[in-house]
Amino acid sequence: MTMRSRFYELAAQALEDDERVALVTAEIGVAELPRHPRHFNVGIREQLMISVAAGLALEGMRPVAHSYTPFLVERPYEQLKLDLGHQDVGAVLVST
Amino acid sequence: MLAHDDVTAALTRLTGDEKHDRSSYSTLDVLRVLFDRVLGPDDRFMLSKGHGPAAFYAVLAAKGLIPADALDGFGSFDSILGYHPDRTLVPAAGIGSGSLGHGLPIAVGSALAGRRVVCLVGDAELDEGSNWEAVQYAGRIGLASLTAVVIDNRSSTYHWPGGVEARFALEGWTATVCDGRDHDAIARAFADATGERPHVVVAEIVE
Repeated sequence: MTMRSRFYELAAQALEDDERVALVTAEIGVAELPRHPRHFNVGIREQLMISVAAGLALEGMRPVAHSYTPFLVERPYEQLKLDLGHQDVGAVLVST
Repeated sequence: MLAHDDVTAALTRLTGDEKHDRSSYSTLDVLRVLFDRVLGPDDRFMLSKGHGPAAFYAVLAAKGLIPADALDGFGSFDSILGYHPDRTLVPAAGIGSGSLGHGLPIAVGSALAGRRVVCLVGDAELDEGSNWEAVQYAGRIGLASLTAVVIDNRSSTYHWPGGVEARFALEGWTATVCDGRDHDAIARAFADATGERPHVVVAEIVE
């Protein structure tokens, strides 16, 4: 089993186990993750993916954002710094 | 209802080089209407265009959302009132601002969590592409709990042919343009939200 497939299993389970958990994706992993009212696929918009995670966290949710490494970190680097760090909110970021 | 004198008195207490930035006053009437007549106790406001916050602080002080005494130290080292508001010090700001183009995308996340959100942006701030990721997605999914207000003082160098509102409408938003100094017109523009799609108020400021 690859690390990615293991993550997809665990993320699906986390959605069921805790209603505060939300998944935020930008097309990557969408086919492997469940359709769910708290799984938000924003399309190929990685800056928005991180900002949405931040907004969910501001409302008390526990967002999990996932994409390939450059799309999770480098494209939305300022969103990681400002929307999560500067707002003092948390998210779980999972790359591959 | 805010007394005019309360806001004027609060503005008078804010001093320093930053105070007279034109961006401070372009937001004044929209902010007064928002805090007086639009925002409910469970709603969230996000000030994305955080530069020039004098008008914002004056309205918060007049509404009792920050202590009036804090106005005197505006921008000083120990003040809770920085040149960009910080939500951890001033919760009514909704977010900590700085770089442009962050508020509206964060507001999308807050709205997805079920919150009714109003986010204030500037017309030149919309140059930042990150805003359009938010406008596109919110429009296509019909994110009805989200309202944006654009303070349009024509400060964008390259402008928005056809008007800012046309860009939002194309993506599925409802849009109302109003005089950004006319309080009743501003209130009506917010009330145009249908509850089925995201709504944008374009508040025109002629300087």
